[in-house]
Amino acid sequence: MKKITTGFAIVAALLCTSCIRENFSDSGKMAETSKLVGNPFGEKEDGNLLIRLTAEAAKDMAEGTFAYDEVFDGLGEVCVEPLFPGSSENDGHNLHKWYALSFDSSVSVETAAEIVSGNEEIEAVQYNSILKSTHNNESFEYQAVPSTRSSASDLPFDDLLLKDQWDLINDGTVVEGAVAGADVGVKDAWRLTAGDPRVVVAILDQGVAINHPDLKDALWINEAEVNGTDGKDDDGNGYIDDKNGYNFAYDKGRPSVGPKSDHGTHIAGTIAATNNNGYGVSSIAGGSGKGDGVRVMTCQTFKEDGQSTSGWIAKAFYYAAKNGACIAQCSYGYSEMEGMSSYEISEWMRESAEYEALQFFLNPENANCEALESNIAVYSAGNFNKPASLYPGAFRECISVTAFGPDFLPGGYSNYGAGCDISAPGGDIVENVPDAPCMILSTSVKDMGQPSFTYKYGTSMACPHVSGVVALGASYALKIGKKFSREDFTSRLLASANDMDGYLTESTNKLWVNTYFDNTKEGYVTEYKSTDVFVKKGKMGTGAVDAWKFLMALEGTPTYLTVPGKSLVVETGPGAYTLEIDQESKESLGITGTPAISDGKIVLTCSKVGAGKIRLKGSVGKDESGVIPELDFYKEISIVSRPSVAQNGGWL
Amino acid sequence: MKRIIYIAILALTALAGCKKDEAPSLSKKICGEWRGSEISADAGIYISFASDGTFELYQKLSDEGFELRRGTWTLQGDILSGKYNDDEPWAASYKVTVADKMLTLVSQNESAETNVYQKCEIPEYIKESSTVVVKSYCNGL
Repeated sequence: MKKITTGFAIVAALLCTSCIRENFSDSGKMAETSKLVGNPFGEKEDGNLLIRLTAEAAKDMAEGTFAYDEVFDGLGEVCVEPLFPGSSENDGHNLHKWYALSFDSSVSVETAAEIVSGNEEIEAVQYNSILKSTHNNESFEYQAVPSTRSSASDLPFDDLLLKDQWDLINDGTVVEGAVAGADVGVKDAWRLTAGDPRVVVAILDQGVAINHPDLKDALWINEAEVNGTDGKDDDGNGYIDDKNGYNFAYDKGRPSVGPKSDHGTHIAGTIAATNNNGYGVSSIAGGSGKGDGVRVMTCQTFKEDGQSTSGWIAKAFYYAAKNGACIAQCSYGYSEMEGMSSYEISEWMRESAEYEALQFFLNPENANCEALESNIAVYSAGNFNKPASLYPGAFRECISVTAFGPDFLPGGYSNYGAGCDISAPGGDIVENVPDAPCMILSTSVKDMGQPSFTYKYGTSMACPHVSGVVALGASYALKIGKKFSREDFTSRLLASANDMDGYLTESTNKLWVNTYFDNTKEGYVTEYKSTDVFVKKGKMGTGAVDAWKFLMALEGTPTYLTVPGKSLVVETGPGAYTLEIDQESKESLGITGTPAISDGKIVLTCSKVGAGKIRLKGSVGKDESGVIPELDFYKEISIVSRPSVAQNGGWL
Repeated sequence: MKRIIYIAILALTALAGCKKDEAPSLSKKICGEWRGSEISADAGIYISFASDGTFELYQKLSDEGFELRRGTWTLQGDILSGKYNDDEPWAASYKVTVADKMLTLVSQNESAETNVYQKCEIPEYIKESSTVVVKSYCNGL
């Protein structure tokens, strides 16, 4: 085994070494245990269950007439608390029926689940699963190595480290092997917008370093708590001192950060580190230096050891929805367990507390941005070099993000294929070097919480690039006074991606880190492995996220101007599309038949003066085995055929 | 000297065109900001006709952003014609009518293409973000 020197990616594996489904079935009372939801396997919290009451029982609980002694007989001393403080029947979801049940840990959770399930007041029971990172949270300290960028003079912001951020502006010289344009396409987009404080991104991760000079002005602020009394729940939302979000992992207001707990800080920096402040890094939606960046809400769901629970994640989604976040940035996923894929785990999760909370977050009723009809959740695809996205990212209502390096080629580690939607800069792995400029540079913390800047790699790092672009898109939609459904917004994001496949012309080996559980050592082992990324061609989602093209797609349907009798060529961009044109448009433009798409181009000739629309239907994340559904998206093009057009292309 | 006189006359004409006391002339009615509707709505067309005889045309005719083309316009009777500042003439002259905050242009060629524009303010974000394709001739005119 080689020493790990890789960046960190939180990939929450439900730890399990020998559990199999039969074990559970054999445990007895099938009728009662059929109430079990969520993942029944793997490690779970002792003395703790998540329970969902019937509507009637939930009413009794709220009115104080619940039959505690009867329902919880045999569990010793119990404590029952609402899992989602402040939730009610009016929310239109089941969330008000969920409670966290604590009991004497001398009773096993399996026994407790059976006892509780035997009561008609209980609708569902969930183990409070422990989600654990399988990667070490290591990263490279920024070494202030002079950038190889040819000129820093044309950089739009004065942040000192922007010259080293190929992920934002890649001119091909910033790092060896870089390809110009292998970035997030944000330089031009910044001319239109660099963020909006009304857009709030919840970071479900380790905590965000709220004192970091490059982040302190980018935080969501809960005015009632900031101006209130410490130790008191000033806004009555069920959480004390949640000034910038909440630390669910330690049940306190303040996030806990440190060198092993800087993953959330790094992610926050990519999305919203303050731009143009002459310090540190630039970020995608960190404003222009006038306090006009998007805001991040720290929702700490992971501890410094990379551990989380179903309960914390569930609570965080509800909190984010109730407190104004419109984007959930989620760099975690359910990794494979023995004999079970991420998909199979996800099937168990469909009635779980965290899935119901995610659905609450995504429900249009709970939208938190005037420009979006519903909130958006962005997930990392995973770092296992596997041909499918992890769940929950692969749920089709979420966006799953793969990763590419500064050479525009897929990351060796990046998952790909089924369920993957779009790609973003995540960096490449290098072995045993003091500095790693081919990774992603962002905000971090040292010992004693001192601010620093580090390089990390992973789909964990790619994910906030898409969250950042989504946040920038929401900011621009606010600016131009438009409102989008999630499907339309996501369609425009996916359809505006750049081609990456053209760069992957031959076999190319890249590194990934294989992590597995070694029974003899009773611990995780990691090793570097080489992989040919050619297999990932065409499977990284629709392509590389492009902030500028996305904003243009939000601005309006692209229109092509032509004159009758002259052939018009329309570029469709990367990806396979089927073309739909309605009869009305055909008649107006004088088109017979349906134009064909070939080599990414549509060639058509209108015979009449008129106007019409062409709809291109694409799909992404195809699963050869048909288990994970692909995601359809649409792109509209307007064609205007005019009798004559000015020679310089002017309308008049 | 000739040039100065020309500018002075142009300025006077423009003033006369937008004088308040008289019944609004067609020339005055054209002055203002317009957004393409019907066919041209798809194309994201915004036009600003200024009383000094200049115009600004903002158009989004690709999957890139808005482009700005500048030029000059003249009105003879009810026929509106113009050219861009790169000396390129408009594709056609147009017969113009203005009613109920609607500007209708009918091209004076055999196609007699009709385009309708609605009075509206051009959004600031379009003015800020447009790429200038055809510039002004000289500043201050």
